[in-house]
Amino acid sequence: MASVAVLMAEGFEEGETVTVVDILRRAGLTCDLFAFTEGPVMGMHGMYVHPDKVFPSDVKSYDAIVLPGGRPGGQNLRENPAVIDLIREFDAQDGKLIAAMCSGVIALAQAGVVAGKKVTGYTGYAKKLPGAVFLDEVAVADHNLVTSQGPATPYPFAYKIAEALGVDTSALRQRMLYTLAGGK
Amino acid sequence: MRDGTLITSRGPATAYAFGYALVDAMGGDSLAVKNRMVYFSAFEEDGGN
Repeated sequence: MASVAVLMAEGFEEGETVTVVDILRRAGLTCDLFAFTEGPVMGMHGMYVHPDKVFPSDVKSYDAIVLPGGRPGGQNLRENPAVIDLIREFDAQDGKLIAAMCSGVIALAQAGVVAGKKVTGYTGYAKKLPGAVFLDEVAVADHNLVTSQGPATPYPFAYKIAEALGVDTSALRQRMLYTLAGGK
Repeated sequence: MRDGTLITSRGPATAYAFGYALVDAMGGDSLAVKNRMVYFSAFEEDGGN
């Protein structure tokens, strides 16, 4: 089963982080939270989450990386040269997946991996993703990228990531009451 | 759903609708929060009801 590393920088958006881990683990994938310091990390709304590993550890061995948004979480990812190098390294390798949502997508732009690819991001973020084909869709998978819009969209984002990694999410959507809740 | 002093909800993916119901019950404006969170992009407006 594929493995996913979620990169949790200080100021991460809690829902965009823990909901993604929740869903990907339910989907049967290995999914670990990476922090950039020892100990719990504070999110955008003051919640502390304990990581599984401290970056970089074995992050390069994972099949996919996920960059959540949040303020200043997304900016902290973009301003970390080691994260930008990792994105470029994943982009250069066949079979690796790079996923980002909300303000996390600015790290993809910084790494220069969005040119000519279909992406989405938070409202108004088209201008932050020059060279990309920005779509007004809840979650977008194109080439080696999966992107999504914002705080209320980690469900379709995580389902899209799981599907890109070969998991059928139709039963999971039912079990999590996503369809019942009006999820698109 | 709300009945008297109780607000209840069903499962993992209904946490947004649940949270917004709490906001409204406490006198907040859930519509503004929904819009900032891009809720209507992911979920139907009636929350599946």
